[in-house]
Amino acid sequence: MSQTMNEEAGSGPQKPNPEFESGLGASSTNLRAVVKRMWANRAIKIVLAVYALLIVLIVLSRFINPSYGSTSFIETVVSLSVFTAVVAFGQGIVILTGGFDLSIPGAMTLPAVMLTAMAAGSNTRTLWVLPLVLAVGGGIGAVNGIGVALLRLSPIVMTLATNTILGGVILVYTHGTPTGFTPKVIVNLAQGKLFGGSVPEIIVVLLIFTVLGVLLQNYSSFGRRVYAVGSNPIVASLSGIRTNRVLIWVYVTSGVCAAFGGVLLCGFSGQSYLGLGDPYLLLSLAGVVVGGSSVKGGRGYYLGTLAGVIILTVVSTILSGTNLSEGFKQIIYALVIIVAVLAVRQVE
Amino acid sequence: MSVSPIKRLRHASRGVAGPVLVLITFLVIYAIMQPAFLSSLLITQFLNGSAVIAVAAVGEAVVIIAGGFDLSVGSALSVINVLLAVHMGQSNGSQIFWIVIALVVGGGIGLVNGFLIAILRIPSIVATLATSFFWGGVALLILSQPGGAVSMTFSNWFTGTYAGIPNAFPLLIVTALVWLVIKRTKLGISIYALGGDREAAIANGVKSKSTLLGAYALAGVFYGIAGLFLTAETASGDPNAGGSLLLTIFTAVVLGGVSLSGGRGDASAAIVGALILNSIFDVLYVIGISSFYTSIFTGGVLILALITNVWGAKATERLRGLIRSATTRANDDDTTLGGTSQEIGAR
Repeated sequence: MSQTMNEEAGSGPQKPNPEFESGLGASSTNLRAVVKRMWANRAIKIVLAVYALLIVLIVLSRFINPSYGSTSFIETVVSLSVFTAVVAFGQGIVILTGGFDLSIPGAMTLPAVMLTAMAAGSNTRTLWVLPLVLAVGGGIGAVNGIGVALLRLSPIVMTLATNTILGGVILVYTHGTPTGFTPKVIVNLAQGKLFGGSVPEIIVVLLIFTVLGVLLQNYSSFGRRVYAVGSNPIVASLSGIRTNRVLIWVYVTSGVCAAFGGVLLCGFSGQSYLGLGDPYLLLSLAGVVVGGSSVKGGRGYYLGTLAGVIILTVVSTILSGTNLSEGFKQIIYALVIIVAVLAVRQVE
Repeated sequence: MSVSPIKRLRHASRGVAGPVLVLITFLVIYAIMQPAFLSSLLITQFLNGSAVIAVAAVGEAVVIIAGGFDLSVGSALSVINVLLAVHMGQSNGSQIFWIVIALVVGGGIGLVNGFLIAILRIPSIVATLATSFFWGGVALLILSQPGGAVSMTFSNWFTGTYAGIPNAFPLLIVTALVWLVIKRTKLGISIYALGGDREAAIANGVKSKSTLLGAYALAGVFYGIAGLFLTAETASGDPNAGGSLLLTIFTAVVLGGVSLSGGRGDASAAIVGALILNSIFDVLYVIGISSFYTSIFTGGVLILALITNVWGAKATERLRGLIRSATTRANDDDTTLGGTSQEIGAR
């Protein structure tokens, strides 16, 4: 699994300069030249370093417990990391523009409680409820985006304020206790297995999501604008990019991703609950950072973030298998974040 | 030429006057709706209810003025809270000893942040995100579930009254004064310079490493004081005591008029911000609005405060520019008309 991802990481960011590749490909099919060129690209180096870290971690985990590092272990870890991975795409694209999305807990929980309350377990109602709750996520993002882009408010505090307001809205909407339960179709999405029970559906969801995410971020004109705004907003706007519009769409994307993550989490637990999204703010932030993105914006790849998220999930899965106290687990978790950030940076 | 005291006062109050006016407005509204507020008991409750956020917000504001962010403030408060609840004894000596320890531990927590940010050059959000996990873990190791207790005398030192005056009042004043003094030292000036324009500050000889270390350590000491207040108020320990306070602390900083991009604002004004926040809660409570809506209002107030901070600063700048150009024009007129008399006076 991780091997294939490693290859994906290598082949992914190669393409932004297709003319370069085709020119070189015509002259020689020399693999060494391709590797050399990839190594020259700092961003790819960082992504590769994150995957190297992930592989080292999985190999080392075998020493802790022989059952770790097996295919089923990797399957479990990847399944568990989907929720954070989905949310971290939104967080990552916001961070690319130099902002932060701290409204993720609210933007996950509100769509989740709406889904269970409105669909109330009915698959047919899910047909209109699912688009509605994703749109709610997008709407939350639009509010953030308008605050950040048009009113020029600090992203951290704007999204923090949205999150507070959402906390109140969720309480008012649910009267303190979320009702209903998750429709079967979404439960299947999160827990079901495909191909005769061999592949978890949620991993397929993650694969499709990752492909779409990479396409949007690295192979679309929107993605290129996002990088431009993140690297230098003034230059971007001088070269004709409508920075405000890009910013608003970036936050909308993050809101939709958070809503989708909330929906999947609903499917995983069969119902919604207050505080459903709370752990995912710090997890998504940590995943993006460990994945090698720069918090100052302009640099980062989703494939790196994905590896970062999986690293964190491997660590927490290993930790939850031990009988260490909760306090020690948190301390080790913190040290892993710091070590990973420093290790990935050494590559630069 | 000496600066006139009025001018000096105006200079010192810059950045504090706005928040203070807002606070007075809210307190007047509250006092009209709830005349009983003007009793020693309710004022004490009001100050005690704001003190934790107020002092912690001063620390957070110091970091923000230096151009950083500190997400670990909640965990820092938790660590100090459980430390005091588990270890502090009943005797006065033990209590004074542990008060000192709380300040030292707070400073140490800040130094760790400063080390990661200044020396290892990890971005402040990432570093303090990690340390917030770390100290959260340490708090759980010290006390795995809510419990422990502190003596009434300790609680009284911080939350009691003396001759009708709530003890929190002088303590908050002292906290504000500590910052107002430090602000004028080399460290304080460096903090403002670094947060305002990092490159320019370094080019002008500001030592960025020691300044950042100093700023985070100072913030940590303020967290230590806030942790003392927290422990005195709850009179027990809770490893998650500070976890939910981050947003409220940020709100207080913004309401205090501190610019989130660094370099501008006054950390002491964060105390005023915390008082404003608490007075809003009280007004909402008196009106009889369900507590479900409290966080909606808090978020709304936060956005409004941000808008006023950002756009208000621009408006004042423009207004100041207009006044300046108007006065220089007036002065020009003065010199042409009354110039001779001045020249005569000078001779």
